[in-house]
Amino acid sequence: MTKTTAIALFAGLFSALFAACFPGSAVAASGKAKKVSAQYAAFAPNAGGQVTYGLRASWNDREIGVFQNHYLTAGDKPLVGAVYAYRFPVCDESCMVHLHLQTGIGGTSAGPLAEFLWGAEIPLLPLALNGGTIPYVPMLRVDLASHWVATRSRLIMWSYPFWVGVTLPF
Amino acid sequence: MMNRFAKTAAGVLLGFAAWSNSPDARAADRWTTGVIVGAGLMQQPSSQYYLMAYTANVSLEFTPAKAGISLTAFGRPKFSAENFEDQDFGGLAELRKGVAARGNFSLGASVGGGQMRGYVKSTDGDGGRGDYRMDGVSATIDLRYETGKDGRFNAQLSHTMFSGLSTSLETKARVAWPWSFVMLGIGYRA
Repeated sequence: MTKTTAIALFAGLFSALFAACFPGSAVAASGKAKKVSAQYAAFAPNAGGQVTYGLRASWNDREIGVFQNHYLTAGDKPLVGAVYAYRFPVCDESCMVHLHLQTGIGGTSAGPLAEFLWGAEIPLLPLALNGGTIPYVPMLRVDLASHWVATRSRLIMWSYPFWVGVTLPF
Repeated sequence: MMNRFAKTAAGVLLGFAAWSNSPDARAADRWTTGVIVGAGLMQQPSSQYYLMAYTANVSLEFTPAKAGISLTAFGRPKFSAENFEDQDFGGLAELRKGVAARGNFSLGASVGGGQMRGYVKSTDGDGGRGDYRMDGVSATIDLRYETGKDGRFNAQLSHTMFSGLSTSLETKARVAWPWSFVMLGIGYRA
């Protein structure tokens, strides 16, 4: 992610968060839409990034997901895992950029998992940019995620910077 | 950068602190300022080592919205081995919003950005030194416990993820540089 892209993205996030600071600006529409997300790849501190597939479904501020990370292995096979998370909207469906925090627990082929995830969903249709979620209009999803995996020998803290995917509300 | 960051942060917070304690602001009781100091663990990119680090945070919060500005500094004590020494520093500016509360506990989410920097220096006489400086974006989750009159004293457990921004070449190769921090701190808010 280049500086220009990041500045543009975070300008949107900042404006969304500032909007949330004004009482009455955020209606309680949060989490009511059902969504499915497909994630493909995350960045990594090595060339090629991490090929890490994720499939998630969210409803009513809950999310369940499964993922497979080809960058990490457990027993010579790509790491696979499942997570159940609770979503805390930071700037909800009324914002231009939907921001949320998620905390979750789950399991992987290497051990139990705790997930901390900061996510942004950006409608890909300009009409939706004034807030709201339009069914069947895809959204770009960008996550910063941190997975804590308790393996037999140690606790691993693994980062997924800029985990990119697409969300479809319905 | 740290000096500039510290001076700017101190100036901004001092100004806001003075203003937030003015009779009008206090009468409305809408703004609070806080400070938290703590220590914990950090992880550098490409490393699975846990390193000791310390932190200081100052914040200004708009109470009705439970949202505000949070400025955080990180530091890792100088490490010296047989023929080298190294150290890391960081500074973040984030917007924080309280997302949940139950009893004396509250959960907050922050997003923002800042810079990490550090050096590795040879100590075997040749004086070789390598410095790095990386701008990036950050996100934090914090769990706070508040006690005392109006919840002025608090303890906080936080987890921050900082990701250095890539060059265009690195972006094509999906390269990013993530740091992680887990910090336990105590603080005061008024």
